[in-house]
Amino acid sequence: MIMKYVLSFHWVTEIIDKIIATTAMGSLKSPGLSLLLLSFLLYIADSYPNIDLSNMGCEECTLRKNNLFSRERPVYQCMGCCFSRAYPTPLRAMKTMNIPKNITSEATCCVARHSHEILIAGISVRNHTDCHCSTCYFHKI
Amino acid sequence: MEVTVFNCWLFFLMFSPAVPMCLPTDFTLYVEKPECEFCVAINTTICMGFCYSRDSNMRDILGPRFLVQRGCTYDKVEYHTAILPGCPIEANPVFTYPVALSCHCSACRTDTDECAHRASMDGTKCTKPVSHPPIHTLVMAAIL
Repeated sequence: MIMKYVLSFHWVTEIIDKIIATTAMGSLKSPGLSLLLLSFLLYIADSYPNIDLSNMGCEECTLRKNNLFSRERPVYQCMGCCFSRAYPTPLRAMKTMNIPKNITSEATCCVARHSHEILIAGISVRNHTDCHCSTCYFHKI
Repeated sequence: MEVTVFNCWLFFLMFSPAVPMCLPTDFTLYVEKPECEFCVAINTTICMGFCYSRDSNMRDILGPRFLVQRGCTYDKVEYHTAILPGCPIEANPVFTYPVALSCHCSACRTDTDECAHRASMDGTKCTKPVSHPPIHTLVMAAIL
């Protein structure tokens, strides 16, 4: 929790440093607007000191260009956020378990609904063409 | 030019589309035992929301190596105990349930959690009259 707050504070100080740098360079033409926006961000960050930055900017599951493979032609990859939840296991369900678990976790993950195989530098790569939130097969430990 | 780009980035950051994060959420748990007269409604807190995941372009060759798959689950949890009313002496009226103190996006731990895609919700419905009795709770802090 403390590390998350420190990371949030570090992120905000980076923004402050950038504003100071551009002001020092004499190239800042709208310091009032920039300071207003910064004040708003500081207010948000101060209101939620325990924000987990790994969850910030959680955009929907969709196609995005994979820059690593997009050399000769664009290659797309499914990524984004999907719904999941964890709750106490209902009594009735717990009785059917071989090893009763107190918590049930339901998760969906962003995966490709459709894709086709292409060759990139002789390597077989799947170019995703459609995405959806579906079963997570590799999220267990 | 640099200032304009910077201002646009700040503006975009404020209004870029985003979905709710993985957060503790109020939830009503319905507990019913066959030998007890009532179905008990218990207010608790669960974890619910959206987590980032990513599919791999090379899953056929490299398997799950570059996959990112996480679910919204309990980070810190506290266990509360409720006494179920209308239970015979020989039946155990004590019911212990988890309460989420904080949540995070993480892999599903199979040693403690039942990992499912979509579980059956039959167990959350009552077949007996619902009771909202005073709950005597024994808080047993179990921080994971």
